Amino acid sequence: MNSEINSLAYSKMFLHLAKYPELSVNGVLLSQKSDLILHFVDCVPLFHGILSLTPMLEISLTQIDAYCSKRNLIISGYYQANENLNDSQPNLIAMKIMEKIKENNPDALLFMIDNRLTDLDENDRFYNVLSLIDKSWKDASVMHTVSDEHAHIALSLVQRNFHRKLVDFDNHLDSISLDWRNNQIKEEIDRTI
Amino acid sequence: MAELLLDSSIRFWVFMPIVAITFFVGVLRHYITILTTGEKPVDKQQLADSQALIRSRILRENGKYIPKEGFAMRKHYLVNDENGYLTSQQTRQQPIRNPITDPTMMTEMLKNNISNMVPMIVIGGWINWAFSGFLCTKVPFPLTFRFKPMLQRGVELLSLDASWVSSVSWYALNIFGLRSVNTLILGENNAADQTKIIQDQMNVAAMSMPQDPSKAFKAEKEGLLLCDHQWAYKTIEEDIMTQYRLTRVHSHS
Amino acid sequence: MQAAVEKLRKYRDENYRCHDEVLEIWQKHLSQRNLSSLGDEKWLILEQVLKSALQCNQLDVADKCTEILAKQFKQTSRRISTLYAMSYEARDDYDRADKIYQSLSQDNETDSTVRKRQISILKAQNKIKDAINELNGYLQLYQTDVEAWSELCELYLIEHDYAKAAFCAEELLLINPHNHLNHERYASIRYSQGLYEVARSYYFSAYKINSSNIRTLYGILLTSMNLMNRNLNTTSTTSALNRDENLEYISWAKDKLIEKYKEQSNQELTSIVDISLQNLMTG
Repeated sequence: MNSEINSLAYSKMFLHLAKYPELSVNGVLLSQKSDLILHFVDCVPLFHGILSLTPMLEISLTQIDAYCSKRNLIISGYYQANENLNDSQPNLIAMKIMEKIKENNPDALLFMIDNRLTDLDENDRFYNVLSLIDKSWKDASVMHTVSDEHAHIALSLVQRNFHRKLVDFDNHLDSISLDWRNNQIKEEIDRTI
Repeated sequence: MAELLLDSSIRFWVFMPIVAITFFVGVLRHYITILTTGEKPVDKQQLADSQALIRSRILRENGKYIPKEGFAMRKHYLVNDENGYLTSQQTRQQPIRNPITDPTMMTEMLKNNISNMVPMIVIGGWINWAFSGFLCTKVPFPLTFRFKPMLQRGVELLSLDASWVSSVSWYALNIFGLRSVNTLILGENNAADQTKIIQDQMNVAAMSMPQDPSKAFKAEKEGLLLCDHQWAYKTIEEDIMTQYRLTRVHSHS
Repeated sequence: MQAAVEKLRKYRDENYRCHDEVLEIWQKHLSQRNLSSLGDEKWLILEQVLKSALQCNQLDVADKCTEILAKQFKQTSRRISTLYAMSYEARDDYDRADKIYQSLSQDNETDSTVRKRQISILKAQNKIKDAINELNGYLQLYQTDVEAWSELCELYLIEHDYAKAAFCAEELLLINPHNHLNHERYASIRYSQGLYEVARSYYFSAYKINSSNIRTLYGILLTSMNLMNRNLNTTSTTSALNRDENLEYISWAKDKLIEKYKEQSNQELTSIVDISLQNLMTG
């Protein structure tokens, strides 16, 4: 299935990486329902550091589900960056979470962050897209389109230190006054376009 | 009794110099000890021993915060009869470090002594020689007769009021009193503090004793064997809920 | 400039993780100035900036710092050698770094930082199993090193070895029983293992220590739900009693959660949480 991504989802994912460059991070990508192609329109950064603990993951997924049903969205992607810079292979955690997501949406895709691609001046995407077919991973990057301007927008946000303002679900649980929906980043992107 | 008046040159030539000398000697000591004491590597066995003892103590004190299985497992590891850590260490032969035959220990002690004792003796002696026999200052409140040997060392005048302070005693007071000034300027744990030497010497005595780790291990083992596990969170759910129910009843009534 | 120095000092003392900010402060306020007025703190700042630069892969900044530091201190200084080795590590030149560490640990076999660096090299090469072995060896000697236990706990979690991770978490609880984060971590590990009863006790104890920790409330909610669902099939009297108990915990935790979200006066988020909790209970 073909997929594409908008600048909001793209930038949030990138800002999450920029906020925790030394840790493993993960999050989910949301797309509009009833689309012929997967169009990722939003992203919710989830955790940083330890990813293999399940309780808060369950909580976060139910809340994101509730959020999605309000906005007519669906969880259709999961991204993960491993702690080790040279490791861009999906591990057991990615497998488990993807299986869970696929229960609701069999078309869901996995985005593995590849640190060799994070120089956005040269590459237009910093991840590989994989799809899980019969318990094995298949590269689906060729069917994934990224618009040229996304990299530019993401970089300009990092330059203005927006990664320090990004809130992931861990931050939200540390202090619930921080909103994991990150509306201020959406507003900022809307303003610049 | 007639009022005594001190010559103002005593202020400039005795009172102030003593303060200055004690202070600068403190600063000097600090830097000399920094220069002479290198980082000395810790003995591996000693480290392992002390860590094991600490861990066992922690288990005794905080064991109630972990579930029973975890406690029993750790207790077994430390004190079981065949190969428990504390049991096996208890019977281990200790090579006793003899300070006379062990040259590294000798130099270490010598270094300590040079930086600690020599200045104390030299400066003390010099102060005693140069400034003895002066009265420097007076404490602004009356004191009883018993303070005389403390405050008037070097001036043995029976009829003198006890509030007067002699120069040698003033030096002694300064050694203790300038401690906080030194911490202020040189930071915490500085080496200028002479009073610490007195404590250190006691510690050294305790250390250089053929301190027998096997005894410590034996005591620790007995302590741990006696220690029973009482899980602190057996009824935690109920505790919090009862509290909650109480507040709810209060707010309703 | 004074403010910058103070900020750096604060980060240094609290071991705060914000390396890009450290670098920013350095480049904006300090790098062009003459720092000798700071006295000995200058060297501490240089070391701090150097480490941050290595974290952020700003190798030219790091090199500048090492150069100044090496000029001031002799090559024989252990601390300087460690810094050199760290900059080799940042360049992925693990062999050279390891060689330095090995010679350092020969001089002083009880130097804990050197051994920790050697373990981190293994981790950087993604040899998690070797790192775990080494760290276990390290902990044989330093049995009460909090940092090492918590790192070992994380390594086991990467390997999904929850039982061993729980052991490390227990060790952290023993050393520091009044930190609510240790309780919460332990509870989460036990929950991931499926041991909901123990997990719930520790979520409660974490809540007792710090009632503003929102994770504990979510944890109590989840554990109680799982315990209730597990007992659903059996119909003995004890399970009925259990059910009532669990229901009470669930409604209590839910009320507390909603209350806390309402305090934030973020209506939309509160309603999302509300719906999600309803969904959890029904589904």
